[in-house]
Amino acid sequence: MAFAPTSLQFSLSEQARASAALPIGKVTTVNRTSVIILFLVYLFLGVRLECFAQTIAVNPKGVNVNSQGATTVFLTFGNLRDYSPAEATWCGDLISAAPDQGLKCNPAATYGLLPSRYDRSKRSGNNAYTDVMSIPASVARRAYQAAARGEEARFFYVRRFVSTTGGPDQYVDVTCRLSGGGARVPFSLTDVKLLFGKEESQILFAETDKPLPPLKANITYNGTGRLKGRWEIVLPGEELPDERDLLTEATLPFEERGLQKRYTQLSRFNVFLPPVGKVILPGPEVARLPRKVEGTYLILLRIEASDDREGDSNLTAVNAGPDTVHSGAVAGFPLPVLRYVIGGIGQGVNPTAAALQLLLPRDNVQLDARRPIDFTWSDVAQASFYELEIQDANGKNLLFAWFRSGIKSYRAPSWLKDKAETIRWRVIAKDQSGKALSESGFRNLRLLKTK
Amino acid sequence: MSFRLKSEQKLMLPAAWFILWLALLSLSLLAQDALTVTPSFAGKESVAPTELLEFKLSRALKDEKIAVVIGTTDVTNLLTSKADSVSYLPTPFALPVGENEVTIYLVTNNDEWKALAHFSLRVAAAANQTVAAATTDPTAQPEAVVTRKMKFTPSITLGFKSQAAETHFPDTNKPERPKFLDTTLQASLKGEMKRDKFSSEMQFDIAGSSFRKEALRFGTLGNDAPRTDLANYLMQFNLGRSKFISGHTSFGSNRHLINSFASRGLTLTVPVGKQDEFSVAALNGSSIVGFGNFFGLNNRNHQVFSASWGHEFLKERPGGLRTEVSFMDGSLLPQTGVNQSAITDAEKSQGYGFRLIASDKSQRAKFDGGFTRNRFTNPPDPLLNQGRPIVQVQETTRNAEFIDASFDILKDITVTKSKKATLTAAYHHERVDPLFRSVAATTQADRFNNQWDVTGNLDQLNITLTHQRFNDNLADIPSILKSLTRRSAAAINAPLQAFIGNADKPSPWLPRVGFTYDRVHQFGAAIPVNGGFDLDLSTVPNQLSINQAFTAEWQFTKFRTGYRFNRSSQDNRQTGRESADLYNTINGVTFGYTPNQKVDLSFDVNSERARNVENKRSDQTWRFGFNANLQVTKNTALSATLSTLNAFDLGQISDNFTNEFNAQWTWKFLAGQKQFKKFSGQFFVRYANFFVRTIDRSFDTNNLTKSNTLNAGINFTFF
Repeated sequence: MAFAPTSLQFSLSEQARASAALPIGKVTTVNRTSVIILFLVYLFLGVRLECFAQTIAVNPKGVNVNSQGATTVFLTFGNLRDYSPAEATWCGDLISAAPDQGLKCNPAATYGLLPSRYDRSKRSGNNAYTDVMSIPASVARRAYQAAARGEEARFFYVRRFVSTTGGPDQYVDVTCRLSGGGARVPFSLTDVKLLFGKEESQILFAETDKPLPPLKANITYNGTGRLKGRWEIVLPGEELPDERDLLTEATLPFEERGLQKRYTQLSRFNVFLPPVGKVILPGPEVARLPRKVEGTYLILLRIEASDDREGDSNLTAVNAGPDTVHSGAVAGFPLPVLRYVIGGIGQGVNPTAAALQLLLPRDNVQLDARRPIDFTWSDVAQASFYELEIQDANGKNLLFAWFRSGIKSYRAPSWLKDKAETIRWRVIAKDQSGKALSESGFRNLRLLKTK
Repeated sequence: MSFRLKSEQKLMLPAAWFILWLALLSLSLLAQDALTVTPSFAGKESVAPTELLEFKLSRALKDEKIAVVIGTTDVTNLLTSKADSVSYLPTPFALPVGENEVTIYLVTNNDEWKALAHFSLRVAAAANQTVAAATTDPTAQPEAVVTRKMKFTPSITLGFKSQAAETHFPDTNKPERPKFLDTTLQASLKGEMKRDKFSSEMQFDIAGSSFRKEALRFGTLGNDAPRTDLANYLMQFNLGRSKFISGHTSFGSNRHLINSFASRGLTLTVPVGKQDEFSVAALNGSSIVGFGNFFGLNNRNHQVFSASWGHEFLKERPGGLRTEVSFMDGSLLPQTGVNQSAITDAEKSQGYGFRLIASDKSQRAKFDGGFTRNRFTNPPDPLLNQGRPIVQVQETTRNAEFIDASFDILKDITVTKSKKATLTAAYHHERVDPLFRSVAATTQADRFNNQWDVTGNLDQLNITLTHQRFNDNLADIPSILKSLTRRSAAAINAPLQAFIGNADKPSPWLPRVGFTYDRVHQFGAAIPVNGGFDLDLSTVPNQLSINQAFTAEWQFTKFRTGYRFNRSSQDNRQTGRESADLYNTINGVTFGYTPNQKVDLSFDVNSERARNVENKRSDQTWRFGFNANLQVTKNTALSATLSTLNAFDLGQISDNFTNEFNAQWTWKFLAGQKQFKKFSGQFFVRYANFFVRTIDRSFDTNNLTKSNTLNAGINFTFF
């Protein structure tokens, strides 16, 4: 006989279950008579074994997770007393942990252990333990494949706690339900990439006082909610942030929030992210980026905790505190920093790098000069104007053309073919005052005057 | 036989008069049809750089357009048109001072440009010119390329930066180094070379610091990280149209297989004939810095190889009908790139894809579609299995496809004499199988998505309407939640100046406005069986979210201001979560003042209010920010920022206060201008103050942190 302990509406002592030597699996059908017998056994043995009853509890106890990608959830374990945390395991099946307490992972159905690189757990508050469960996509993939084979879709995250006084270990599990990663999944960041328009440049080198390209954050997330926080900058000469400073606020235990080191604020943001999984967060205005002092600058994305019902961790429920901790925008990793270096000769030469993308004509194509020539390019969010430059092969300017934002194409004058056979062209995006925001590289074009 | 009228003699004179009349009439009509242009500056000795230029037309335009080129700059798109004139207001791009030639063209309906008139325009310097120069900065212009050329430009900056004084509170916030003096180095080398058909360009950037934790690779190598390291490099070699790149580059244009994958590596592009192009790339699995792994190919378990073949079916119209075939084989370790953080895995994938791009001659109809088939698995990850046997991931082969199609229903339709309209309809389709994953593309697997867009432009008014429907769990696995999503959105952007008032003298009081509306309804299709959802029905989502934003921006000569409003709501409707609703409202105002090029001031106020219906709690955040930049002299600058934030809840449970201030003075000096004798320096002093107090009466926390720092530094730049 097997039953699913999570389907019971009352709490059974796992010690009692173990004493009854009952196998525990995932079948949800519960025999009512068996439950009554078990309950009586519990009443009989529970009093005697009270001192060994499982004391550690977790909140939230169950969460929806992304079946196709990574998921991060803020968890609080309470009532630790003389227990210290050990490893955390994901699995598709639970078995009795006897002679220890609770349910532990079935070794035959283990999906993986929390890699140390994502282990952000730490003791906190009132006998509590804050854990950030970062489920790699490969673990969700294993669970999905099990579900596709006809097994149950849910899987479990089991944290083991070791007694410091020689008592039995305690295993505490969290249920993970497979979903699409949208609404009802805790709002969490699973991939954050900061970049200037020039994607190929890991570290941007720019000349003093010359405009920098716009920057942005490409973010992949689960759930939905408000993403709020600040863009900050570490100026040359300032002390660098440590790993804790780079965590999102929601990743920290409540008592550590607000203690992260602050840096000069460039701008503040507070945007709503619908349950669609991806967003491009625009950076601060490029005019705000300091560029007078030569040296290395670090741009920081500081994310504040937001109110997200699915990410709430109720400390009262686990006897770890008086209230609920909001953990919207939790992330299982320190956020990346974006460096730029002011001084030197900049990176204007990079012919492949461009915030502003040229579309057509492609590089090095040959076009029939008798036909109209259309130049097209991609839009730049902050641009008010565009300037198209057309030069001959020797770099002599043949034609400039100016456009208001929104215009992303230009049909060249019919006389252009008479000016040169080989031309090169590029586009510069400009702000409202005419200052360059970003520029594309040059593309070459050959005009064939075939008869 | 001949035939003559008797009255022939009498008819000759009237016939001659009639012919003469016809001739005069024809000439008159021809004269009327011939378009002449009279400029407003005719007869003037000179005009100011920002003076309005008007060109009177002798007749109304028919099925044709006027183009205006000043010097070598086509300003047609910035013209304001009337029935009998066009005008050009040279802001923000002022006219270049001196003699300029203005050429007026008549652009026929078959896109022939016929010169109508040439005028000479003298522009006199204005006393206080605060607008941008018309010509592009000549120093930014690429230098002329000659058939043989070799040029190298080095730059080295040696810096000394220090923290001279520091105070902090509490003691636990004591920094690792309260006072320090570090040496920094940054160097670049840029080179160009050209000889006949061969050319090359290269750039190397190096950064270093005496403080190990500032080393570029400290995050990965720790104390083994070299203090001075390679930040970026790029070497490009061109032979004719062939191109070889080593360094930081990107590759791929297949959405689901390899899509602008950026990293360090090698790429080669070789045109084959006039219609084909072959490209191949070998790249590191993630972006890296440092001299180590110079070519990005040191680790075979963390690499991406790809090749693609592009064929243009229409030689005379590239892009008209093009197909691309791509292949990719990649393997990743659980590592992220330099500017990226993510929950990673060990991954391996191999696949191929097709892409078809097409458009008609007029570019009204466009099509972009693709299909990808890919094999994926997760190799063993020692950090995940930690020496224990775990369930192996089954290798899967899955498909993905997409279609993007659009058609201009209306294109450049004349609505009024000066305004044209365009209306475009677009359809986007995407289907990505469950468990589809390529290591070189970011894809959301298990998704079936359809989206319809309509975009309309009337002059500068832009309206976009979108409707999107997507769902997941394409395999319909009964124990996994299937979510259906319905999204409708609208966006409007317009400069009111273009529609209200005198177009020749646009009122600065009329703002550029924008409004967006986004409604997303996501709900579960059913209650999954054996998935854990049936125990608590609130786990099956049914949420309606609405997000609205409004912006308005005003631009005056010296002032600028803007207003921003945003409101979002999350309405949960599923059983057990009916009251778990959130509402957020944001109001923001910004002011800017730039009286001249030496002074730039800005001030912003932000109010954020968040209401949690379930908890009956409202939170309010106020933020005030002030920025000042002063260019005191040519070589001396002052800047200061002040930011104050107060966040609290109306029930007085929490109260957070943050204050930040910093001020900086910089002075630079220059000695020698020529390339290898160039030497410059810079000195800076900066003071920064931070104050943060966080109070939560529910958790009984009261955190206070304070810090004051004084930093100074000097830099020397050679070459």
